[in-house]
Amino acid sequence: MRADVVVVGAGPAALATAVRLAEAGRQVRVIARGNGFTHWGAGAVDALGRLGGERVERPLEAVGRLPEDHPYRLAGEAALRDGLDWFARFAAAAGLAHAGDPDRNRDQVTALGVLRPTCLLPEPAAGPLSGRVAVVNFEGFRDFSPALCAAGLRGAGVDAVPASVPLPPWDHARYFTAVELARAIDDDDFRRRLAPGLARAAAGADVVVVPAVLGVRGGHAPWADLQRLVGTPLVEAATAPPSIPGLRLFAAYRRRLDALGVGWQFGFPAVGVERDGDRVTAVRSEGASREVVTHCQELVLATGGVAGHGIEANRDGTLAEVVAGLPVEGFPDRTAFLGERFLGEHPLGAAGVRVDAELRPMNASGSPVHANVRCVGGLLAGHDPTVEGSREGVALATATRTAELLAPTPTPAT
Amino acid sequence: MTPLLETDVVVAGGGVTGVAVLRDLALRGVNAVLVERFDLGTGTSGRWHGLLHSGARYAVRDQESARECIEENTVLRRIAPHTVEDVGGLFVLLPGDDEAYAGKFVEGCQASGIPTEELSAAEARRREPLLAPDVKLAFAVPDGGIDSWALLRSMAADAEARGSRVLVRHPVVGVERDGDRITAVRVHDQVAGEDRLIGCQWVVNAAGAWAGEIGRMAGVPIRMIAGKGVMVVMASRYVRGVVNACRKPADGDIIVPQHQVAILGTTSVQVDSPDDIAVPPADVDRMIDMCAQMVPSIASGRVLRAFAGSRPLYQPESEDGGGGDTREVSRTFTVLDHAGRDGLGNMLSIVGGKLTTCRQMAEALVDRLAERMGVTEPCRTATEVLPGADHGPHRLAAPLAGVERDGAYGELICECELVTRGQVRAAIADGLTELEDLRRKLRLGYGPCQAAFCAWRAAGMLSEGSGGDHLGGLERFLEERWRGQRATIWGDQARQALLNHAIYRGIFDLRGAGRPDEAAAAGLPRAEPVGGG
Amino acid sequence: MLHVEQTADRCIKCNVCNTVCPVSAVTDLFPGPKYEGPQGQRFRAGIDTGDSPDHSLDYCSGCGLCTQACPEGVMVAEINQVARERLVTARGGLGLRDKLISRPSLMGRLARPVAPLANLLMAARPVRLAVEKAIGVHRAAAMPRFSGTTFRSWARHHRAPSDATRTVAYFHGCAVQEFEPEMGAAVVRVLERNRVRVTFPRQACCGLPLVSNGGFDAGRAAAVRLVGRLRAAADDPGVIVANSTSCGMTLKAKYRELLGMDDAATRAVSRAVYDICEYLLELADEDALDRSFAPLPAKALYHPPCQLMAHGVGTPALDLLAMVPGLEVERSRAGCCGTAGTYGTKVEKYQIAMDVGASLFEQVAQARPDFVVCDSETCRWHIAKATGLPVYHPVQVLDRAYQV
Repeated sequence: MRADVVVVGAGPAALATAVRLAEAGRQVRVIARGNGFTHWGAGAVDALGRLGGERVERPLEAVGRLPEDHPYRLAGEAALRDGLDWFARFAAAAGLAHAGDPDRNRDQVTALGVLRPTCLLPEPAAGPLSGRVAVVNFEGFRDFSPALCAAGLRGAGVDAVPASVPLPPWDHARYFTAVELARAIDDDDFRRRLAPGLARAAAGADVVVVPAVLGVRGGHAPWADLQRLVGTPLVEAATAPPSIPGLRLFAAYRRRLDALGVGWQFGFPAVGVERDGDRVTAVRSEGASREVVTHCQELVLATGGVAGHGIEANRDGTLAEVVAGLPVEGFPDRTAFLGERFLGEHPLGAAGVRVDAELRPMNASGSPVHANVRCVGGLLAGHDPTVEGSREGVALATATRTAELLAPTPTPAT
Repeated sequence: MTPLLETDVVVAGGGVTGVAVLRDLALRGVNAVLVERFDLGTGTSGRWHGLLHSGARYAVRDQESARECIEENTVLRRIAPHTVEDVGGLFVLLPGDDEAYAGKFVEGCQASGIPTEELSAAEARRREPLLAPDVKLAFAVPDGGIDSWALLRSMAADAEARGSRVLVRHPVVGVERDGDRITAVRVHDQVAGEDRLIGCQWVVNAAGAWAGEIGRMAGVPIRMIAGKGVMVVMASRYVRGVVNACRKPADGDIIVPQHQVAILGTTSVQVDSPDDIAVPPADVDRMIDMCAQMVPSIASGRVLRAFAGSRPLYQPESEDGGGGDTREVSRTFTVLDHAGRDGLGNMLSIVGGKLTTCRQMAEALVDRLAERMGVTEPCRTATEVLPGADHGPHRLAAPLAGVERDGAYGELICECELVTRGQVRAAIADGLTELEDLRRKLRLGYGPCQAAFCAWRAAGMLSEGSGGDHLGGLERFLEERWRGQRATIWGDQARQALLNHAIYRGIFDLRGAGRPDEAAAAGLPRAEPVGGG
Repeated sequence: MLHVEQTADRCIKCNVCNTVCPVSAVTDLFPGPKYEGPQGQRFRAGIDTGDSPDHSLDYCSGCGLCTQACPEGVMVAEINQVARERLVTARGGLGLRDKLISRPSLMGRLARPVAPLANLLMAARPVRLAVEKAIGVHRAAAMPRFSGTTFRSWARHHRAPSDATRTVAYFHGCAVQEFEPEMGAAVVRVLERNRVRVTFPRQACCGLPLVSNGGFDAGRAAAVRLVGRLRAAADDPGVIVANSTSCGMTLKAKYRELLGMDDAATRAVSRAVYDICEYLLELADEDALDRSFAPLPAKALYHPPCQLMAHGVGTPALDLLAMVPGLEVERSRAGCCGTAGTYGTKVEKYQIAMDVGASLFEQVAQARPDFVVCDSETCRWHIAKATGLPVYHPVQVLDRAYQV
């Protein structure tokens, strides 16, 4: 197998990198063991939510206060701005318009009623919570509790009351998850039958908060249609995985990758590389009965740190980068992996590969391990995307920087 | 202070021994109240490996214990089959093991009345496909698994149905003596936040590893040695039945299947207090490495958590302390009648023993107490079956079949453990208000994903029923589950932990109040000792 | 426990598998791969406790999209397959229908002498109704046409050209042998056009239908027989090409994963197997592929079968088809066409299969291609029946482009 650039991974960083590189004219092949954080996130674009535990109001401005080795400092503020801008245009072109201002964070409603800080929100999640808010669940959906959500919102000063709406008769009454419900809501007729009950549950409210299940195949059209039928603004609250907004975005990325002719080798992990001097010449991935060798000019690792399975955390406290054996700082023993409090911070979440200003992994002396390998996204050291609320922003900034580096004139999404 | 209650007997200690005593008394028509500092089964009875002993482990060195075990093994299967996994056990001989020991093992089993069957390596591997390829031979014995919480619930239900009372979250804080008799036991009602008196004629000290503390409060010396053992819980079952190493008992020589998991055990170290339930990470590695000799895939397997518990070892004053390794201390039990021993006329203590022999221990104690009380009803606990016995022995796949039978796929709250919405609703209707209670009663959050989804779903269900700080309760629950996990998180479990963190902190933005002991800070009664897994 | 069952340990409950399962998307009779696979596995653990594993397991089609999507390496579909085998064993083995449809070469052999008549009957509604009532094969399920002559009889008379620089052995499988010998001829022509000599080692059914229906013992017997027959070819010529992506996947991985066959002979054969498009693309990578395709001005829709994705080589057919001038190729967005081998032919699963394939059929209706391209034969028959369009194997398109 031959490729020009191989991107390893299928999460937010991998997808953005693959598209931007392909748009810039490189021939890209994606190799991934499976899906990633796009399927697990809040369905928003986090740029920088918290710094030192404190909520950040102006993410781009706060970049300057980050440590030197933070991915935003390495990629540069311009790359973050450009990445967010590119994403907003890409998503809008795919029917997934986002609201938000890179210079100012905003609140996102979550299923537990907590308002989390984020930067860009898809329209269905972006409505303001003003006046009386009805928090409505679809009966039988296990992953949303209107009472808990409303209690949380009230704690944040929102006038929220819980309610629920029965689902019209459908073919998944016995068992469904967010995915089946979202697919049902894709259907025009189902929405028409659902709307009256939802309107009744929303009676007297200025805004209705529902779990993020309003369609998965039609972009934001099902949400827009349902909102019109109900006659009250609908706001999607973020739930735990699977992320329906994440699935919408993933589908958009897949369509774009197909349209750009990007090869897609999915379901098998990259397990090694071949080298010639300081260059990687090929990526080895698992195949059904043999390793598959993909020769490449450039390699981009977007494998996502420990959480993404790009770094293995061993019993003895050591860490190992799984594709190219890049240097990763381990720990004296495994009890140092994690903090004392679960909801606190965990060193393992910030573990990663150290890179230079060109996103090339460095060895101990500070020189690049390989001339043609870059790392993007959660794989990078110097940040914990969960704690600081920066996952999608780091993905976009480093994807943008990589596309700049590997193709001098990246073209904007059309 | 006016007594809260008057009763004939106060039983201190809500482990299997105390509850077995309560039941035995109830069956003989004796009024009794059991008091327990936390919840039933939070002492040694909830911190062990779940082995229904055949006694074979004692066959070589302690045949008295061995005989007790095999007798009670049979009784428990009769009276509480629903708490038993009837899966058998193997003692396997590995290269490097002393073949002469195997000979002594067989002889000892014969002498103790424990049926054994010798199996070739091939036969052993047919029974246990994951056994190490270099196992030389094996002996099959009637080991099994026993669910101590199910046993506790059954015995307590039986006793309560006959008029006994169980007071959990009521630690004993003192006694009132009048000369050589105790007239009342003072307990602290954790929920109400005040002390209460329970007037009584007799006191049974069944506090297990903490028997010494009750003794101290009563003014009698009882020397207990806390023999701590560490156990490692694997995320899946690995073995069909129990697998033991056929050698002199040592660290990491047993694998016990318990429902969907396998428990690796154990160590044996004397510690200062039975409340020391910290798990040294090195012990976790040791358990894995030793048990992997018997089942190699354990070495690369996923560990769920590790925990420790103290064996309640009694050291009579006349004997020397056992020193570091507590395996030399006898495992059989002792009834202490403090009248003759210490001049305290109306207290008996039951110390030592094994969970498998709890009924027999209770019988011995209650026989003695009944004699002192002038109660002539004989013991019937060996023949009266426990509530729930009609369900038959526990089957691994029963919950799966249950979900199919009830069509409950869409009702699962805890997916790992197949806990349904209906079960949670029923538990809430029964008065459970905390996620920890749901965990203990329903196994919610026990599975490999460590409450990634079920905790907030259940918090949602709790909030449907009542106001209150359910988010705070959720955060507390998550922190409780987190304690003691750091020794066992790597590989798959590290990915799970980080995903869970990304959900609770990343998506839901929960950051907790920042204080380690949040339950105490919230003024809520502790249901469990701090720091264990 | 086989290795696949142990991969259940890796599950972090993230729900990714549930987002790709095409069956749970269309019916609530199947509670999803996470439930059936790693979650249920903890309660089965390879132990027969007298409670059967959940029967809803039977609705798993084995498409394997879950295994591919799982980021942790849980072999979800394979866990289900192993559990299905235990379910079938507990029931007393395969039923009559499953025994019959799992033996395509047997059915082919029986019908061969009367192929035209057999085809006529199998197209007749009353006959299909009777067959459905008798053994449970749905009246509308796509059926291949029986061939009066076998592929091997064609191969026996085939003169190989003498300019070969390489040699491969051809595993043609039951479908080419009994139903589509012309497809096999296309494979041979395309290889020979590229100076590859093709040998035809004695072979037999790979046993996949037996295995996927839960008949592991019979499947293992078939596997052992086939490995024995292909063993020599694994060394010399050292490359075995297969045009059926499902049979190829079976040879590459399923003997080891599902049947626990880990001996040297099986390993050697597995390592030597290439999907035909995979092989042709490797030739192209070495600049050894004849790219003188004539223009084929047409629009095609390419559907990569789920079992092709299980090879781990991506979609080589797309790269090959891109070399044909004038051919516009749109890629299917569906993960599974629905039939999943014999699954979609069963009366209780046919509608599920049609519902699973609905989005693909819709995409075809909107794209209005001249033909559809797909590497797997059961998919081809299913898609052809549902869309009314001709459906070709990629090699047939290349063969056409070489011929013109």
